[in-house]
Amino acid sequence: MINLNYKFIQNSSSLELAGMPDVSNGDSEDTIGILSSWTLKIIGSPLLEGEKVHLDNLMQVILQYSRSYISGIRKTFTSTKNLVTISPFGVSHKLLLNSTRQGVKPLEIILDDSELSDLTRCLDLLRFDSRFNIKWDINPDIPFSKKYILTNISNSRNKSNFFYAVIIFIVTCSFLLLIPTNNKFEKIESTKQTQSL
Amino acid sequence: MKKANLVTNQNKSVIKGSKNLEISAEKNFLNCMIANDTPRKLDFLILVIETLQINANDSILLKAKEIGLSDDFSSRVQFWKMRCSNPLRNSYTFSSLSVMQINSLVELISSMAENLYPLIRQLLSTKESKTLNQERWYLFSSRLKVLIRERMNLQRSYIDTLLSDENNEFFRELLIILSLSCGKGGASRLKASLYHQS
Repeated sequence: MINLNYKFIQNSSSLELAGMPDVSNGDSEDTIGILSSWTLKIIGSPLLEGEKVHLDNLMQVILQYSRSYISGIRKTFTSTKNLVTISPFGVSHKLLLNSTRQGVKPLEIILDDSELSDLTRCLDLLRFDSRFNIKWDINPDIPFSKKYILTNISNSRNKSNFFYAVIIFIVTCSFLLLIPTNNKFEKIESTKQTQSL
Repeated sequence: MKKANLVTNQNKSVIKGSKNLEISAEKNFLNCMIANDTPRKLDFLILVIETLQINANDSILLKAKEIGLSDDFSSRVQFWKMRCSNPLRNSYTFSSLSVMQINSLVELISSMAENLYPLIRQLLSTKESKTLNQERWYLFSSRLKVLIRERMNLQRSYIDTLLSDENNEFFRELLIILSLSCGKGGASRLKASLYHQS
């Protein structure tokens, strides 16, 4: 049996995959068709490892989050089997990993923007690598609808702008109402005009 | 002999695979429209590239040649005309970008971002010393602001707010976009962000 090992390194992240060709599927000698294991090292956090299902879940979540983030949307994403969750955490991003083993506490990893892009690049390299003949369970990069973007972009600033505008309008209107109108002046003007005629 | 056959078969399958990927990617954009802010976004991304690299215009044109992009990238004037579709520019030409032009610009930006990734990463990292990071940000933002003053319409309130913003939020957003648009996967991500479903 041929055991193959491929590694993807991007600064703070390094992803290593091991597997073998799927001869029944016509894979060549250097193509991984069956994934046996994978390990992910992120600097400053414990070593992650698992099976294909776990990697699928991780890829789903990270790639969806990055797709949203590039459109200016910061939103929580959870994988289909609830194994991986990523959510905004201040300026950073919180990655929550649930183990399928019983008695193992969920692992929390805080990633900054540079680490998120490193991890995304690693997963990008993997999904477009021709040395892998594996069908990944991930969503394609699709444009969002206008409605989705408008509802998900954090418009706190826009909302506060509208609120301030309403307050300013009410205050100025009430000030204008307080100003007394000079009715006498208008009357004199009108009488003068009639006299000249 | 067998090995040679194997290699050719493998190459054929890779080409088939890439063609399938392209077809499926095209299908994803069937009922989509170009977003209103696309020319503005693309121009600002190129402006960030110019900030990070001195004489970036030359290297952008060279890169375009390397990738094999269309005649729009053969001369500086043609390239500048494309960038003038940004309504915030001083020399706005009231023109719009075609789908082909957008695709070429996406490809170009993503390959330029790949080259500049170490610099972009340094600016986005929060785990290095604060003073060093502040110095880098000062250099980057001041150079970018100079370029904005030179080329953008200063009478626009949007440009005015960009220049007066001390937190550089928009500049950071642009750097994040560049960092996530490196490589093939990044290009498809960036392209998807420039369209919206109709």
